Amino acid sequence: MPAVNLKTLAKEFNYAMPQTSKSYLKLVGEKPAETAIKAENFSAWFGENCVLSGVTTQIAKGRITCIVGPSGSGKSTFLRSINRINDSVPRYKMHGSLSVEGLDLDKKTSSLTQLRAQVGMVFQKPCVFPRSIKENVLFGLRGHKISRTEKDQIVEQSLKSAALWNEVHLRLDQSATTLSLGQQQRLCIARALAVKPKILLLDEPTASVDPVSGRSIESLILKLKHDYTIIMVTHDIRQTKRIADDIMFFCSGALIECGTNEFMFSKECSEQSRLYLDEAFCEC
Amino acid sequence: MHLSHPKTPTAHASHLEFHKLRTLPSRSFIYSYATLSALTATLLVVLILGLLAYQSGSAIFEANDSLLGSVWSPAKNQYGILPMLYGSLIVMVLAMGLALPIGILTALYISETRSETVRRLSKTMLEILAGIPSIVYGLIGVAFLSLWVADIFYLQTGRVILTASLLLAIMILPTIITLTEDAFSNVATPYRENAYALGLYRFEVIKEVILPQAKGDVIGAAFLALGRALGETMAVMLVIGSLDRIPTPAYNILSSAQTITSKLGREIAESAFGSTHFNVLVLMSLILVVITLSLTGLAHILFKSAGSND
Ligand SMILES: Nc1ncnc2c1ncn2[C@@H]1O[C@H](COP(=O)(O)OP(=O)(O)OP(=O)(O)O)[C@@H](O)[C@H]1O
Ligand SMILES: [Mg+2]
Repeated sequence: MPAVNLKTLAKEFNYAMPQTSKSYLKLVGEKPAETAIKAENFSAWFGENCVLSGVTTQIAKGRITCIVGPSGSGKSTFLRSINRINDSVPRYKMHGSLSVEGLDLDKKTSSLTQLRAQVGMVFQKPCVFPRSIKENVLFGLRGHKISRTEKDQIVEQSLKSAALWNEVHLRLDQSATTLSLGQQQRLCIARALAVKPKILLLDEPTASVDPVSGRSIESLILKLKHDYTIIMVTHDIRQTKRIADDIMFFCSGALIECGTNEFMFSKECSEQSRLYLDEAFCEC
Repeated sequence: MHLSHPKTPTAHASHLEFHKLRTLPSRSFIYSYATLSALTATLLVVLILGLLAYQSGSAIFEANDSLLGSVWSPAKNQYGILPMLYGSLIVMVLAMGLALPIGILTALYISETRSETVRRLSKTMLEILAGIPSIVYGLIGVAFLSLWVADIFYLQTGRVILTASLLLAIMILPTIITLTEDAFSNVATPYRENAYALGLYRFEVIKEVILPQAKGDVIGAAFLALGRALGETMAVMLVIGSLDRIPTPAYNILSSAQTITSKLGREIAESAFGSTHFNVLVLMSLILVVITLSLTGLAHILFKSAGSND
């Protein structure tokens, strides 16, 4: 057995420590931005399989936070834990605290529906309902009493913000399943926007679209930043560099490091993050 | 590839030959066997229908004017089958009316609580329930259900339409729950997740997402259960009261009646082969077969159209 390298050991130990959030606060500035989401020692399991362990972090309001990391590192699971969609997955367990806009998600009393109305989510795979485009946009507004003209306004506004209006405004009553995959992805974004959430969770929003639509979604995200807190998962490092304000790096279920865009792409960040972000290499 | 499977060329060739020799004939054998079986099955159905039609054809000649009446009295040469048709219809409608809502709600509960334990437990229970022979249900109906019905409604006999419908509802409930639960569970999880993520309440998700998506399968399940209800003999025979008369008023479900199956179950063995009595019974069985076949066909069409929807 080789001698234990104390330096690596210390490093590893360091990575696992929740110190990251401190350094992050330091880096955000003297006056830290308001927090939208706060996780403390948050862990999650599927059955016996621990997919998130001891995540402690804060996500700032009104910024774009990109979550990066290798496949299977728990990025989607973290994102899906924020609006508690995972709750209905059989054998899912969570531990620790995760609060969104002050609503503590651990307390059974806080209404899930109320929470989800504040946290819009666009899933990794686009999924439109087999109804008309218009109905899809208005899907989250069921139960609200809205007049026809208001509905039309909401549809137009949401589709415009999702950069889809020009393509579909002549066929709003056609089935949404006739749209291309990239258009469906943008329809999902429009649908989430129609509910007017405060936080927007995007799971690889540009993964299933062509580069052009990808860019239009990117610019859309940059535009939306002024009104929403955006948390997105992406595998595209260059995209991360282009649009992220903050970056969180996950690996094997642990939050290795998080910090601002400049920090994470500078020489100051940890070896592991640098390797992943610069050289697309990960040793965990 | 060839490194991991070192083989001499000859060995390879012989292997190929072996392959050819073994699989080609056996495959064509399977094909012909399957074709034969399919033909046999179709032939059997045609044969049964033909035999029934042949026998009942003479019934139509022999009892033509009384057939569509409501008096059944072989001694007076009266063979009205309306009471039996009506009995079958009302028992079936009542049983479905009771079992369908309860079954669908139960299935929704099982599928939408999304708990593996609930699902596994209830599936086991349903399998057990579906496996109980119908004569046992019949005994339960005679020993308990009919007595309760008589007590509650102050009747002389509890062997009435209501009892039969209740019993039948209990008997088809496992089928309905199992099939509709499958239909609900088969609604893809992303639809659910997307709907919940938009802030919909559970009942809204059920109403707007689950039910519309599973509609075809639910209707199909209902038709299958309907066929089962229509064909059930033993249990119904024991609790229906065997009265060959349309109740007065017709909607009086607290009166005894007769269904096609209970009539056949009671009388087919006593009637002389080839007699008018016998032939009329065969005619009734033909009607039953035709209705059941068309219901099954309808269920297939609906299942299919639901499948091609998504
Ligand atoms: N419903 C589930 N049941 C069981 N295990 C799951 C489930 N969903 C995810 N997992 C497991 O949790 C781990 C993390 O998955 P997750 O989807 O969060 O990864 P990810 O980082 O989003 O990966 P990718 O980049 O490929 O989307 C994986 O090992 C996965 O197998
Ligand atoms: Mg993912």
